[in-house]
Amino acid sequence: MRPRHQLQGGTRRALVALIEAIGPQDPVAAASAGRVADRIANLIGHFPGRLRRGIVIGIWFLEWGAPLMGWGLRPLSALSPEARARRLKKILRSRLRPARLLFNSIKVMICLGVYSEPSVEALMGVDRRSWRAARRAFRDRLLAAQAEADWPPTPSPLGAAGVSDPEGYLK
Amino acid sequence: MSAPAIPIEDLDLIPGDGLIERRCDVIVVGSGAGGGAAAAALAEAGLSVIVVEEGGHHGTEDMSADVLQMMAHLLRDGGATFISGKAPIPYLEGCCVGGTTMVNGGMCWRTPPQILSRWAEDFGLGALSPDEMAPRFDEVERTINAREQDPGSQGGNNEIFRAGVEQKGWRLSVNRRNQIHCVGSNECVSGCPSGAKQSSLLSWLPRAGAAGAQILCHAPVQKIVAEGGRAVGVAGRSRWRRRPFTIRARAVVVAGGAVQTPLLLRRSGVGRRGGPIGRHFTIHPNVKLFARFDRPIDSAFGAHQAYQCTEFEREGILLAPGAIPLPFMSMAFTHQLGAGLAERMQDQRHLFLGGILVEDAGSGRISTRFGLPSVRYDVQPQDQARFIRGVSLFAEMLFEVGAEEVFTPFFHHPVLRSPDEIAQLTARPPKIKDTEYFTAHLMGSCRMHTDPQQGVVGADGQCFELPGLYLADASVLPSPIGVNPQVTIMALALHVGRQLAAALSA
Repeated sequence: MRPRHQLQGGTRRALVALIEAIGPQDPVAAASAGRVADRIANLIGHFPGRLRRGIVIGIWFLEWGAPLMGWGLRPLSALSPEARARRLKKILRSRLRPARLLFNSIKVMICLGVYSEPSVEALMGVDRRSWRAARRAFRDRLLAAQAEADWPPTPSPLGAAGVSDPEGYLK
Repeated sequence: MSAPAIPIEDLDLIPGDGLIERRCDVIVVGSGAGGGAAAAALAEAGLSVIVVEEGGHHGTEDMSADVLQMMAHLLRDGGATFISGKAPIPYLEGCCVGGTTMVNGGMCWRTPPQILSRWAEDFGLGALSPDEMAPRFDEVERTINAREQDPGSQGGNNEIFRAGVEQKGWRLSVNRRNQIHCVGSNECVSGCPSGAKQSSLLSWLPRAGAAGAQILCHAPVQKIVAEGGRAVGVAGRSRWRRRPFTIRARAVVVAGGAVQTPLLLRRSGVGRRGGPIGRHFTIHPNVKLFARFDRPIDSAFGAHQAYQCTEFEREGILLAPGAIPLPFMSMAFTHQLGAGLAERMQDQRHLFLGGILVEDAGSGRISTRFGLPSVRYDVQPQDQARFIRGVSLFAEMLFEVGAEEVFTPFFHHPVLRSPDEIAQLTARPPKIKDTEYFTAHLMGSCRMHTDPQQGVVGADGQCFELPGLYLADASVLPSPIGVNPQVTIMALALHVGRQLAAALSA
């Protein structure tokens, strides 16, 4: 029902440059940067209009604002991923709070996007999708094996050494 | 989209373009902790009930591992919700059928009796005394299956916390959580993928649906309709197609949460300027704490939070573990990005995640400025002192059980590398503006009180300024409660629902 929100041209290019710099700087991760940008664009589409515009301006500011802020002369996307990361790290540690806050809010979105990509999760040694499927299957087996009547009474009794019971807690 | 077990109708999918009109006995605005419980109480009393929900319907099988997609589907404004003040505070608010119960950690605590007694004595709310509320808490706990985790499902994050608290000799409380055989998928905050968490969608709404309630999703209410000084319905436009709808009823129950409810009342012209609507807003501010251990913790797998440390309850400080999925862990390293961040993330098996919650000393305000919502809250210096103490205590405990580094929420003290460094936090106290806060407990913006000058609704939940309008959500909490609020909200909503049902039957 909701139209898919997309970022176009220069804004998308700047976002991809940010993703490549903030992500793991690995070829596997770089290959998914475009997809992460589209997922972020979709999320931004759910933001209120003024915030959506603010984020886009923020992306442009990070791309083109370096000469104004004394962070360098070239636009972010023209730098190598390593040089981009160095520049962004300066902003991350900047004593200028608004710049830090702006960048942090964009960084959080990018990190959530990058680190939920299956290829990047695999780089980190995690396969969350298989884990989820296995836990779901395990729970289904639990439910099938145990009739509802056999479930522990609610609230179930608590209490062990060093552990307070609810009544004790409430006192 | 999953096949609903309850009658959920998507307003955007109703054929045609004209005005959609409905009629019922009671409209319930919101389908979360408050709306779900109130709808069940009203429908079971034999009243015809329509629940209207702004967000969409996403069942268990729709819960994906793509956290950005889940944020877009389940959270208000895609999760871009902030409280402004000395430091911006992100907050979590569900916007889907089931409301915030779809994205909370599932912790179930009754309102502490000392709080209920204070409400009875200071606010004149004898109907909320511990004895009066006990049967409502029982009913809530039965409905949402509030119980301990199955043994073995807690996961390493919770177990290291338990070991630390026990080693210190502090008081440990076992969380009850609203779950049936939770298997520790650790995805509570981005949508339970197994159906174990008994959110409003899986507990109260089926109960309401079985008693005849209907649920309309993608139905944001723009205003409460009043005639002759009495609430008689709601009006709005469907979420995406902007198709107008009106629903008329004998009474309106608003359960939009502590932020949305006062905004809806303001949009509807309820209350006077300078009145209590939007005031006394409290948030139980939180800060996060991460630690790297010398051994694998595997905090990505297990229950979100199985224990709490209530040793410092009297000081208004609560320490707790808080396992989150892998993508959210990237937020731990605020000073890192690129290859440096990836290196840290590759160490994720060694990472512990926790948080400190404090009971607010101050309060904030929700209002509209130039037609736009304004949510404002300033963390008070005494709360900041509690956070510094809480982080110090937590770090001390973590170092004792083997932490090698502790990552704090303070900009100028991002990492503590030894117990000796903890003293830096008191020697150079972090400022409020340099601290990262977070909250998921929004309360009290339309509080219940017997005095109309001090509160928005009376003991029965009815609005002083507009008869026929009832509030049944976190906004009516008279003061912060110091514990996770979902059980309190549900019990209060049951109370309000039953009072209203009795009034309409009479």
